[in-house]
Amino acid sequence: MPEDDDIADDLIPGKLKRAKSCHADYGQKSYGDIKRLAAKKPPDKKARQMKKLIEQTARLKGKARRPRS
Amino acid sequence: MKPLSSFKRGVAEVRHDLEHGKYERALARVAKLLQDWPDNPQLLVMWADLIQLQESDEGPSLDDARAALQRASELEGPSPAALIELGAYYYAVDDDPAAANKTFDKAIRLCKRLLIDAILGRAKALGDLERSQEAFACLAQAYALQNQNGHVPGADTAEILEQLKGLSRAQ
Repeated sequence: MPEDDDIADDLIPGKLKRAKSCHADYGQKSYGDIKRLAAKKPPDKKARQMKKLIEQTARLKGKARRPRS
Repeated sequence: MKPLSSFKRGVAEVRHDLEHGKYERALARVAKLLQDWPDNPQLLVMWADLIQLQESDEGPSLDDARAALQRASELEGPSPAALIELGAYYYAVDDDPAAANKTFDKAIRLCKRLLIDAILGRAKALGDLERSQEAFACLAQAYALQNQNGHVPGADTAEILEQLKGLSRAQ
């Protein structure tokens, strides 16, 4: 999983930056800040979407490292 | 028919690249494998996953990735792997929780059906091995799964009870 200090732009691959739910103006925010904004009530929609993209990237990378039986 | 060994070797090479973060090379390998094994759901899922991990803007698009996952989930029949990936794509990339919910729900039903089938199969095998206690435990697990959160289409509680009776008779 990404660290809270990691910057969104470093965590989201170029291709996923083309997704409609990726917001360039949030690219320099840290993962920790994005999580905090996404958890706000009401949630910050852009942060919520960025969080999903960061976690999708981590999930896909993690799949490759998962041990196979 | 192409030899299965070339498929296995190709997939192993892709996995090796994945484990080492070589996503561009892995994508090229999968694209090549798809030429020999078109419409293979496992390769389509790998291809779609790898598209999302590309740094370059060149090559296949996110729409191509979604289309590949949709195709894999249609081709895969009763296996839920492609559906789970498609659900994750709808959720994270398309930010479409309604489509994700529907897709994950279908995957859960398939997983549950497969899990019950596997547990019932194991119960039969354990019965043959005269490991009755473990067989009973499997049947109890299958019964609990079957009756959890409503009925699973295709899964028949009667089948579980029948197996239970058979095992009791064998005792």
